Amino acid sequence: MAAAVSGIGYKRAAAWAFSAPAILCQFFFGWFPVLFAFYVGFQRYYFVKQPEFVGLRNLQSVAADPLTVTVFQNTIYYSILSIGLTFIVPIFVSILLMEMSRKTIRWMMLLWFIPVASTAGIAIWKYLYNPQLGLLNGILKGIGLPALKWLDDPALAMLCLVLPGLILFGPGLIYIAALQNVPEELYEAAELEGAGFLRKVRTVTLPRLRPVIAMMLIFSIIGSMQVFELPFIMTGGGPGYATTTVVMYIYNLAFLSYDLGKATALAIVLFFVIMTIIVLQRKFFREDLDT
Amino acid sequence: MPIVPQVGRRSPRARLTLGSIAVFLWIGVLLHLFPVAWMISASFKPTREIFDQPFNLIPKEPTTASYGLLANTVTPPGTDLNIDVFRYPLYTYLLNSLVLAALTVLIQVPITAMAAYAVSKLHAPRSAKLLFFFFIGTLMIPGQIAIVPRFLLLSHFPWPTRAVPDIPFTDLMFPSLSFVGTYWGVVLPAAFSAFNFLLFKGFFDTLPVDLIEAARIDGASELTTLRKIMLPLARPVIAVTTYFAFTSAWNDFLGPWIMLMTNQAKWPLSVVIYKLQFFLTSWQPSQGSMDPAAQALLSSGVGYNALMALAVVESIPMFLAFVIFREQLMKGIQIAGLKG
Repeated sequence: MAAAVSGIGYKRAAAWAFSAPAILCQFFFGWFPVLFAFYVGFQRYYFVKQPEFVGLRNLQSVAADPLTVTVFQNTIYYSILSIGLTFIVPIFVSILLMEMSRKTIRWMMLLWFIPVASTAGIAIWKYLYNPQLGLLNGILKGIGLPALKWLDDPALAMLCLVLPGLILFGPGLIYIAALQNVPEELYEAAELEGAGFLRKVRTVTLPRLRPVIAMMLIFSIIGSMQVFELPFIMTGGGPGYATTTVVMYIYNLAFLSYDLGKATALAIVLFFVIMTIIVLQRKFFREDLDT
Repeated sequence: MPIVPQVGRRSPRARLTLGSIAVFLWIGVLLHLFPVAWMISASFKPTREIFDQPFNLIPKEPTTASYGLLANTVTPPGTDLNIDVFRYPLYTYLLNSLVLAALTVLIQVPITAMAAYAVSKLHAPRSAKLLFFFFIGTLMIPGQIAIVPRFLLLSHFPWPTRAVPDIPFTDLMFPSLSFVGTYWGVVLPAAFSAFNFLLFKGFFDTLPVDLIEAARIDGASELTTLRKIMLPLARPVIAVTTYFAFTSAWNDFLGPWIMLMTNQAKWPLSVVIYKLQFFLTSWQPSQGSMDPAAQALLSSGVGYNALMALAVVESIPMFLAFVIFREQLMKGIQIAGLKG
């Protein structure tokens, strides 16, 4: 007993020693830059000059900038498209996948998760979309339909960014993991009540998945509202400003116009927009399991 | 668990349902594989076949010319950086990607695992709870808000200010480190992963405390307990987190793009593929004047076939990592089920 008591202090010391590197990293690269954004956003801040406190002037300049509205519209449009069209797809594919035999599941998953590097994947799609050399227009011509301008068409460009997620449907690892924890008795009980396939999905599977879906929805909202790479590489924000997202504009302001203060002020606005959406989402989409 | 009950699986109706599900899923698998096949096929096409219509999935005259071109083209310095993709040979970029991914894995996984173990098993309940939220809180915060502050911080670490402040009462500046243009500027922000922390903690939570107590009674130090008992048990989670750390570092674009912009010798493949793609699609014959070196490159056959060859090169290590970690990933999925 005495040994155990004297061991407590030692255990605590080890606890802090083990956590220390992570605490430092999380402080410097996780929390601190976020907090510091609230300082930079209220300064006139250029690389070449000493920063100067300007109060709300950066926010005013963001509000007065006509592009602000455009990029927020684009970003929200992208979010709605990508979540509306592609969010539920992996959920249902995962549910359906569970119906297959174990061997088939294994094979399908192996083939499904063969990875392509992400920038490589974007390059492939840009090639498929190419109006002259791309396969998609080749197919359209082949079946006698008029060719489309795809990424060069302002009305179509945003949809083109989302389309791969819809065409290439696949399961989600998280959902597969969660589905394995659904107790079989629940299905048996539903079966006894004469429930068909769809009704079992609706009354048993989806409610069980609710916490995971709620969490993934939050991550999808956060992720899609901050989309950068995809439009940056695929369209460069064009044609015109048709696919310029908020984060791309933040990047442009900071690293092309060197207006760090305004860039960060815009980031702060984005921060509050996203946090508002998350709070609303959590209010309407309970995470708890109702059983 | 399957929804269609095991006993009724042979009835015609169940067979129809299962059959149509199988068809639907296999279509999904094939669609998924198609862009991969298209990429590989295009990379082996000679340039004129890229222009061929109708398109062929199998190249008529397969050639490795694109790969040769990528490997052998090195443009002399002094031309436009925007289109001057091949200032350095391809293996430099490949090596950069590998170094970035390896450093990220070697730093992130141990740091994250140790913290998760400490929070799960060693800390007092109160500090464990506080640290837990400290560690995963950033998952719920849009991280892009910090693009600019993070860049400032890494420009003269640890001072996020524009310039490094003077030590009071002297003309000397505080010591600082600049990570701009170095691997560390990309690796350090990824030194801890909140997501992998969750996976590790979820796993350590399932291990009984008795194991640790037993080791302690045997006189093992905390570090020995972690190294000899906990980590071997955690092998599947280590595999999963290593795979995640590797792929996220390999795919990272914005980090290297911002931090290594000025230092082309350190560019990873993700940046190079963007540059080549930008060069291919933004240059139009109508623009007329073009850098002679780039012109030569284009006429020598750098086209979509070369871009796809580069995409293949970028994807191969991802594929290898997937093959290596395949079994553990499949196992890991079952344990990585999310826990509070």
